[in-house]
Amino acid sequence: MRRNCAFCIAAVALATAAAMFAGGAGGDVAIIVNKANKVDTISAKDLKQIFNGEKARWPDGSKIQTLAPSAAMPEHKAAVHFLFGMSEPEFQKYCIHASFVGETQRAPRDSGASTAVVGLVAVIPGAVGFVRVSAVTPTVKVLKIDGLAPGDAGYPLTEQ
Amino acid sequence: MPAPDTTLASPDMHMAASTDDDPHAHMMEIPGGPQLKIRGFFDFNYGSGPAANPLQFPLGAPAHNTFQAGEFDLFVSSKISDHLDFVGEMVFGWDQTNYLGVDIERYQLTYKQSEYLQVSGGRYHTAIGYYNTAYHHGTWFGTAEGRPFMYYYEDSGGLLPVHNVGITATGLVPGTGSWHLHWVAEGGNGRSSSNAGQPVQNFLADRNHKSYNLAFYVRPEWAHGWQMGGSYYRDKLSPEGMPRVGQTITSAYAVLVGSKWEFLNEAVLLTNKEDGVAAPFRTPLMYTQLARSFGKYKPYFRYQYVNSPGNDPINVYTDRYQGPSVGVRWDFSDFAAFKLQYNRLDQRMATSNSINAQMGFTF
Repeated sequence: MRRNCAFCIAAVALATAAAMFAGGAGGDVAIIVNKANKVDTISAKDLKQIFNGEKARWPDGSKIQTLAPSAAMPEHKAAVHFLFGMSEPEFQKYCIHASFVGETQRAPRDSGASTAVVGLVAVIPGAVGFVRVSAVTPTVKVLKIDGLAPGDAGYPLTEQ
Repeated sequence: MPAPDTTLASPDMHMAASTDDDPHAHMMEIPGGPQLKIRGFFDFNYGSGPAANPLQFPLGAPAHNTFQAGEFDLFVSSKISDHLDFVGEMVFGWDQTNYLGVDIERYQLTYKQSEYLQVSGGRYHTAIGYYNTAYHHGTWFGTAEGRPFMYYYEDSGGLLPVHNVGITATGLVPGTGSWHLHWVAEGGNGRSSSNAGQPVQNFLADRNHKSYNLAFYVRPEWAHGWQMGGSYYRDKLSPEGMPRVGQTITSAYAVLVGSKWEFLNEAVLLTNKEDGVAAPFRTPLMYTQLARSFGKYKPYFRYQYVNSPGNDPINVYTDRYQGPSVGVRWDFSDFAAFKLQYNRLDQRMATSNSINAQMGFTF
């Protein structure tokens, strides 16, 4: 009985560690677009302008729709810092103000869980969002940032 | 070929089934109709000194140290369809009589055709300068304790028609590249010709003439956080028993709003000219405000100047209002701030000092 308990505790600890490794701290954050999007790589500057609402169209003229997971998702803090240069509280205030003055294009739409962002990007031709690499599925395309893909050395968008 | 419009309605909307041969597979339905979102703002104040009250007119009212309820502001918004939005702002506020008043300060139904054109109908904040459309009634947003005097609301003695009822349109100018030039065109009832009643003509205009306002601004990519612009407003007022008065308001501004620095600079020239009278009455209005964040603290400095001629036929306030304010904002919570501000006010006949403390928050 005591041996069974020890085994259970060890199994839970291992599972927790595996979950943290797969989707927790320290992972890269992927920029994802619809598979029909012709863009494969994007500069960090263009990416920031897209999420800030300063660029509204893809090179083919289609409309860009920015999406973000909710602030509770672990990748949110890193992406907000990278894309907006803001802390989470600053970003919350920024989003409230954008809504208040009717400039909703300046902030990405809060889409809930990372899986929801992936699901929306998969069905909206002009959508772009950010999610943990572990949440990416084959239904979407991952963009390179300045020629670097998630996992490459020097990839700029990581959780830590 | 541009992709179909795919503006989202809500994060929890229902997605239609997706099939490769269905061109509308990405379209979404909103179960139960449009959703109403609501957000509140409130501020609670303590003022000491004759110039302490930020929204009270006349400024020469007897001064008492007082606790003061600010504006209880309920901001509502709803996405009605892919291209149609509604926003509204209901403000509950108290005045010198201590009675509660309720105003629907803003209601706008907006059609967003694209980033190049969106048209709104309703009651809006006139696009004169920067502050008036950037902050509206949510006191929590503003770094300082209150609006600059030049943007005081009409029913608080403000000189500018900061609210209007009519049509407003705006958009990005195509081909302006990294400058991001935007245009604004507005037409509305304008302010009342009489100072006796409600200054905003919500239901019935007192004349056929409509005010118009043309504005532009740029947000250059190469100067992140900066916005520069200007506007031209024109109206024709018909005060009872007086000649008609042509009102012209021109403005120019340059502002920087970054995560650390805030630097606001605005100047407006308000001109009232009676028909048949050669000399117009000119009122310059301006302010500059500088602030910098140090973590949760944001010290700031504001200097403002308004000089309204004593015999102006339209202006409610006819005096000079000039002086500095120094304060600090403390964001002790993500959604609540405490502000402490000292003001020194020079008028033609008197100089006064005051202190304001304010708790502003959103909920």
